[in-house]
Amino acid sequence: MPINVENLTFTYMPKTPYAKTALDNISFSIEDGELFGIIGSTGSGKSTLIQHFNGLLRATSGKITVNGIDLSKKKFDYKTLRSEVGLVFQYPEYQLFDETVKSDVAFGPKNLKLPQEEIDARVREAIELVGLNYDEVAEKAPFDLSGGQKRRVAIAGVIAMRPKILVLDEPSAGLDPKGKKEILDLIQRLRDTSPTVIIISHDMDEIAGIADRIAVLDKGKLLHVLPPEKLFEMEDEITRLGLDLPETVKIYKALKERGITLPRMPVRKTELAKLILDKYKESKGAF
Amino acid sequence: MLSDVTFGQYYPVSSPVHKMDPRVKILLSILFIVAVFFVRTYSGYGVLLILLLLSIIVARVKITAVLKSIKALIFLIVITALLNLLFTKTGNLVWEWWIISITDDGIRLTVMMALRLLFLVMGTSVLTLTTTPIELTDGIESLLTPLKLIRFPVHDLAIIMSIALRFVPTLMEETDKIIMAQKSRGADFESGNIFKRIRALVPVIIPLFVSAFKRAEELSYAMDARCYNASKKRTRYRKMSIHFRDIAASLIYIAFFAGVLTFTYQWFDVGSVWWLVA
Repeated sequence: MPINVENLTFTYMPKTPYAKTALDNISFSIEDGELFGIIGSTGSGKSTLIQHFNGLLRATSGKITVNGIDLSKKKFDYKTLRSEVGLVFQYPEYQLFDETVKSDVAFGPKNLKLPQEEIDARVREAIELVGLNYDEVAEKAPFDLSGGQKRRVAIAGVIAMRPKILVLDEPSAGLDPKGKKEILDLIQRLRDTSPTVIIISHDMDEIAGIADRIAVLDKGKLLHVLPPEKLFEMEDEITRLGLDLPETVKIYKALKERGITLPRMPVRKTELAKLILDKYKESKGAF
Repeated sequence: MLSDVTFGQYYPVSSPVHKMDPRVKILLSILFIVAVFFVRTYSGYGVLLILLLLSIIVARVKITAVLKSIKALIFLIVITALLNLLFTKTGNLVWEWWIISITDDGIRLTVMMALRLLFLVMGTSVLTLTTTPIELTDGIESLLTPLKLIRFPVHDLAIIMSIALRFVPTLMEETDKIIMAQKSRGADFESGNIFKRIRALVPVIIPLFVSAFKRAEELSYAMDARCYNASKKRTRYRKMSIHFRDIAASLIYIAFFAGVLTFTYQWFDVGSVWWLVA
């Protein structure tokens, strides 16, 4: 089991008037090879939670184990942990700093103290993997690229470290629909090298379409960990938390109101299309 | 890691000192600083200590918050103390070894200077702990108003100050975020010699500059879009006014200031009387 969280509590600036409990007694675990979604309104503690997975934040109390590394111990191997858990922050393009795309992507592998040939190979692979042409962008300044390209370079900088667990905080925020789709395709492609993916999202369509299970956070408390088709059945709960239903679920409900009941509630677009098609064929057969 | 920088951070509680007019607080802080520079005797510092403790108690600020402000300057205090101790050559020799000689004048000066720095830091931190940055700028702007007579751009200065102060927490937060992001990519800020550590900061400073310039540009567009014009007479949301507590505080401070002068210059021979009592 790669990630196991037990009674995790985290308080920002403890023992000051600014003290704030950001995570309150959270327990769950993430399986190997799972695509795990995290949703919740702003300030619910999503980002705080994922910063625990590679030891950037230390739990105030509780226990976290990541691939067998106990993060509640006073000392543990940061280097190994950070090469195993790749964390892509929100708007990662704001972390680009080097003169060329190549050297920026090489920053992570270099910090791992890998041999030069290995670094070069990984940089090329990572840049190609995020869908950019290595020969075209390698020598360019990252600041000359477009927004979507910058973001992909920043993600390449993390995957060049070949993490087994990839954590992404709102990877498609602020991109146009085309850029969003490219990032989602990229995440699917990355699962060959990083089988376990944890993704925070505000976009219910996005998360419902790809996640195996979804965790719902509210004001620092973990309310549910459910597969999307179970989670989005609870319409009232989702609305109460200030979240939205995925389009597929909305269409399912709209059809039902008009007397067309699909056999089950779909959460993926392809699934919805298939169910509607089946229903159409079935009704045609009736005529 | 950056949340350790608490020097001057506003301490959000409600107290008479928090509610005071920022202009009065600034003036009284200046008076306190002047008093600290007048003091030459231990008894003088005793008087100031009473005033300081009184202010802290009335302000309902935790004493640890005030002491924390010293932490940022402890290096400076130690260095000045060492310099004073080692390079004062007047007075009677107390201890000598190789080229190091320590005199009784040196020890006295060291203690006095260290106390002076400590009192300056603690005194000003009472101001910044009880006054929000916005109140401070409003107060300074109001106090500088007479300079408008010589065409000094007081309002521009005030808006520059409030923008700068407004972005301190934002930039700190951003720095924290960039540091965490680069740490995730295996960056190491905590080991190696000083040059290595300085080099390690490049991946933090460049993104920070890029975003600071971007923010500045966006803010200037936003101000332009709202037709901001510093030369017009503007109305204010927060009006400053003098209340009973301001007058009371002023009287207390002036009384203590007189006390300090008395102890320092031994007017009316109070000094000798004091020692008799003690």
